[in-house]
Formats: sequence, structure tokens, C-alpha cells
Amino acid sequence: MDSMDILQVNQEITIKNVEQFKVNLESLLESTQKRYLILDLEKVTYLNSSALGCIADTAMKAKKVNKELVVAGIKPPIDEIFHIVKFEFFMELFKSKEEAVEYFSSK
Amino acid sequence: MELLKESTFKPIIYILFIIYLSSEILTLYFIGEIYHFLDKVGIYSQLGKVAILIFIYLLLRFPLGFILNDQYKKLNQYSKDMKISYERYQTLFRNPLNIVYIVNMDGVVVDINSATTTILGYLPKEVIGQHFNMFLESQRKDIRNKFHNENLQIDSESFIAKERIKHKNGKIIDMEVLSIPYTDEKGDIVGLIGVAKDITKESNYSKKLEDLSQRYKCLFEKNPHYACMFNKDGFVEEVNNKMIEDFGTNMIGSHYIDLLSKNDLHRALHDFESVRNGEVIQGIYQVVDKKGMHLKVDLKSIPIFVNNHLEGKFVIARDITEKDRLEQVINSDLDLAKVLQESVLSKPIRDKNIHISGHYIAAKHIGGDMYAWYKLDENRFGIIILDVMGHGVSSALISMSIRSLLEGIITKTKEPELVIQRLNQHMYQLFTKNIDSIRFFTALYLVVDTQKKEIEYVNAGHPSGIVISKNNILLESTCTPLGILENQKPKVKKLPYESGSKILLFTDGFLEYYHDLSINEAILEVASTYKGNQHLTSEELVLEALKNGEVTKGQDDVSFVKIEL
Repeated sequence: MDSMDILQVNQEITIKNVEQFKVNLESLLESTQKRYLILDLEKVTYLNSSALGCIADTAMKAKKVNKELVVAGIKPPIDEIFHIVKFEFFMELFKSKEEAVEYFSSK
Repeated sequence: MELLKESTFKPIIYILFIIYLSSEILTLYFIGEIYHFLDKVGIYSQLGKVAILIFIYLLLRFPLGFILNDQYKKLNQYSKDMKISYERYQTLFRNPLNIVYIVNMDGVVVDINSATTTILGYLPKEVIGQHFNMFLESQRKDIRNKFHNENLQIDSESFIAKERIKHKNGKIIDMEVLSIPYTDEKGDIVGLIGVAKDITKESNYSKKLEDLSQRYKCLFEKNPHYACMFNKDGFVEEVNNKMIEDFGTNMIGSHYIDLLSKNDLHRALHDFESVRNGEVIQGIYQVVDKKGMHLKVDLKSIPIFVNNHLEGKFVIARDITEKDRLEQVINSDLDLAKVLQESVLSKPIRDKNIHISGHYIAAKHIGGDMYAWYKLDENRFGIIILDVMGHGVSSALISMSIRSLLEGIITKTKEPELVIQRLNQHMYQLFTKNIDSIRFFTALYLVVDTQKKEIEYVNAGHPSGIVISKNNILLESTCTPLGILENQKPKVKKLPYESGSKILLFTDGFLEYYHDLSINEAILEVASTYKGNQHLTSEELVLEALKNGEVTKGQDDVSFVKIEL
């Protein structure tokens, strides 16, 4: 756990708060020395396309600085969105935070 | 205060008793002398002597008795009055909330009550005999000064002053002190009776009130927007500097309807009634400034209630004249952009084996959705629907940028996967690589071969399209949206179709109207709506599908494409 940092989101991400979501993700990436980053969306019931863009952007930027961002809490109803956008092609997706922690722990 | 004690009067009573006794002895002495005198003058009858002596005794005794009795009664009443006064003084002195004290003219404390212990931490015996300077933060030589430097004169001789008094522990306590001159029987001032009340809480409240008042004053007077106080009848009572600057100095006393444009009067009267009923009202109004210029203001009227009674209303108004003008310019530009964007959407194709039509509704003038179709050869048609992430102008510009490439890429590239790869390359190079921030779009591209009755498609992160025939077939996503990865490896899927089949494509904005359903459930619901309304055009179908829906997440662009085979 020492090398991991977790950002938990507790509400749906819409046009109203997507900018704050972007800031929080940037902060997660830049303000921590920890290598493994978990975005926990377990309590999120909706996220718009801009939020998906922020996640993809952060995941790509993390790779450039030798870090890794994964998404946890991929459960209904948002699992359908992630199934469509196929983010698993470039980042790891987990059903729960525990699975994400276990993934990083085994590294 | 010893003079006031009952014991003081006992010697006086003894003296009166001695006087009375002496008078009795003297009377008896005189009666004895008169008895001998009667013998000398030849009155020998005992009965006569007794009658004469009783008469003389009564003559001598009664006036003196009356005088002494009257004096005794007066003295007794005086004693009772003094006793009552003393009890009252003691009651006043026992006051546990206020310090009651007496100082002489040299400023030495003569007496002080026990409240000094609870309020100042001193026992009365520690204070009596000490100079009152021991309590004062700023030293004073004698109490005579006290009668010259007070804050408030409550009559010719008594004063109320605020003093900073030292507690035994050194802490300063704010006190309000009532000082009454203490006079002797001649009326000369011999000291001072003081009643001191702890007003620390009141002082704190007073300071907070003063601070609040100062803040309010700054907020009101220096507010960059118009701020104005009206009384409950709608007359101006107070205005801030900004209002004076733009509306002149004659506003105080004028009525609010005098400030408004005539067109707004009816609404203003209605709104004013609402404010009087306790509502906060916000609205856009036109007002006329001192130069006669019409300004557009966004104002908020807030009722002011004091003790549940309406005192008036507070109005704060922001001048939005310039902002409104700029918005009109922008909206005009956006309306033009909307016309341009809609003009590049493909027009319906009605071929013998295929009919293609679409409908688009932008969320805010313009958006990032786009659809297009091209006839690739005699029997093949390339059809694409795409959705740029985000909303508004930036998404629309990206969408138009892609649109400019579509015809060249689609008509010159046979394989669907190459079309998707080239679009991905364009998006990645132009945005993700250059501005170091991912911008992507989802797309569903399909090629329909009407001769082979075959569909080839690539779905890049886009909501599934649906083929409606005997069985509904979903055209599901096969790769990530375009612009995220530098090297996209799209997977092409191929499926046959039967004549009479229909294909429906849409963007997620359309599906958001079915917010109670999952994405795939919503797609099937759209198919169901279509089956019941096959005679409708694309536009009519969209409106039919949307009329019962409600967007809850913030409105997105809506795009819909119908392909009839």
C-alpha cells in the first residue's frame, strides 16, 4: 500500500463537475511520488465522454513518467461504458479496489 | 453607617424617660407644697383638699405628658423609618450581580459588597481600606476627577461611566459604573456610592456588532455592483457609491418604478409583491441611468425582515449591458456556425436498394456529433456516425476538421480498418500529440454492399448500432475511440443481411433520454420504437423517441441515422 495512491470518486461525473475531476486526476498524478495509482469509481453511476478522456489522458501521461493508473469499481452500470470504449486495450480495469490493490501488490 | 443602627436611639429614649420621671417627681413635690399651702390658707376639708390637688395635678401633668408622648411617638416612627432604610441599603448591598461600594473623598474604599469576590476575585476585607486605584487600569489621584471626566451625566450629580477594571488575576474587565455622590446631613459630598456592573459580554457583543456594521458598510458602499435599500413601500432609503456614480445623487426618496424602463413596470410590481411576501426574486430588468441610457441589469431583490416584520428590501444589481451585447454577437455567430455544421451533414440517399437518412439536434447551437455517407461504387456505400468527446465550440471545430477529411478518406480507401486507422492517425497527430492532451472521438463506420447483401463495420468505442431484421443484431464496439492510441488496430466485423432489414445508428446523447435503462436496453427500446413507427422519417422518429424521455445528466448532442435495406 505504501507505493499506491487512491483517488475515490463519490458522485456521477457530468458536465458540471468534470473540470474538478480533471484537476483531481492531475493532482493524483503530479502531487504524489507513489508509482501505482488507483482511480476508484465504485460509487460512480455515470460518467460522460469528457471524463473518459481525462482518464485516458492521465493513464497515458502516467506511463510516460513510469507510473501506472488503473481503474477500480468497474461494475454496473458504468461497466457497460468501459466495455464500449475498450480502455482495457491500454490500461487495467478492475471490479473492486481490492483487486486493484492485489494487482499492484503482486508487482 | 453606624448612625443608622437602632442602638443609636436607646440613650435618647432613656433621657426621655428620665425627663418624664423627673416631671412626675416635681409634680408630686409641687402637690405636697400646695397641700401645706392649703392648710395655711385655712382649707381643712380633706375632700376639698383632694379635689383641689387632683385638679392641680391634672393641670400640671397632662400638657407635659402630651408633649413627651408626642415626641416619643415621633422618635419611634423615625427609628422604624431608619430601620427600613437600613434594610433597603442592606438589600442593595447584597446584590450578587453588581459590585456596590462606598469610597471617601480620598478614594479609599469604606465599604464594598461580596460581589467583588465573584466579579473581581477579592474578598471585601482585602479591599476595604485600600485606595480604589487598585482596581483601575489608568490611575486616578482622587475621586474629584471622577466628576469631571465621565461619559454620560444622568442628572446634576450622578454619572454612568465605562471603566476598565483589573481583576485580582490581572485580567481587565469592562464595567459600567454608576457613581452617586454620598452626602452628609449638611449636603456636603463626603464620598461616593458606586454600583459597578460587568459588561464584558455586552462589550464583546457591541464590538462584534460594530465589526459587522463596518463589514456591511464596506460590502454595501464599495460593492462594484449597484446596491440599494428600499423601504417596505418601495422608496429608496440608501444607495451605494456605484449607484450614485451612475444614477446621480437624487435617488434617495425616489420610488423604484421611477428607475425602471416602462416595459418592465408590470413585472416589477408583481415581483415587488412577491418580495413583500418574503420571496427572493431574481430577474433581468432595464433601468434608466442619469444620462437617460437604458442599462440591462441582473438584479436580486431580498426581503429584509426584522422581528418578523418586513422592513423593506435589499437590491443588488449587476450591469450586464455589455455582457448581453457580447452574448448576442456570440449567439449570432453560433447560429451561423450551426447552419454551417448542419449544411455539411449528408443529405438523404434514396437508391433502389438502400435509403439512408439522418437527423441531428445540437445541444447548444453546435456540438461534436457528425454523420456522413458516400457512395463508394455502384453497390457499396460507406456510412459513418461519430461523436467528439465534450460539448460546444471546441468539439464542433474538431468535428468539422474530421468532416473535411471524411470524403477523401472514405471514398479513396477500400478497407474499413484503413479508414479507421487514418482517422485515428489524424486525430492523434493533430490533437493528442500536438497539444499533449487527449481528445478523442468515437465512431461507427460501416460499408454496406447492396449486391452481396453484406455489412462490414468497425465500431471504435461507439454505442452499438442495431440491425433490425428477424433477429436484432448489435454492431458492438471492437476497438478504442480514435485519438487515444498512436497505433490503432481496429477489428473489422462482417455480417450478411436480408432485404427489408433496417440499421439504426445513434450517438450517446440520443440514448441518454432513456436514462432508466442500460445502454443496450436503450438501444433495444429505440429499435422497438422504430418497429412501431416505420412510416416516420428520421426526424419524426427522433422526435417520437425523445418526446417521452427526459435528460438528467446534462443535455448532449443527439444524432440518429436510419438505413433501410
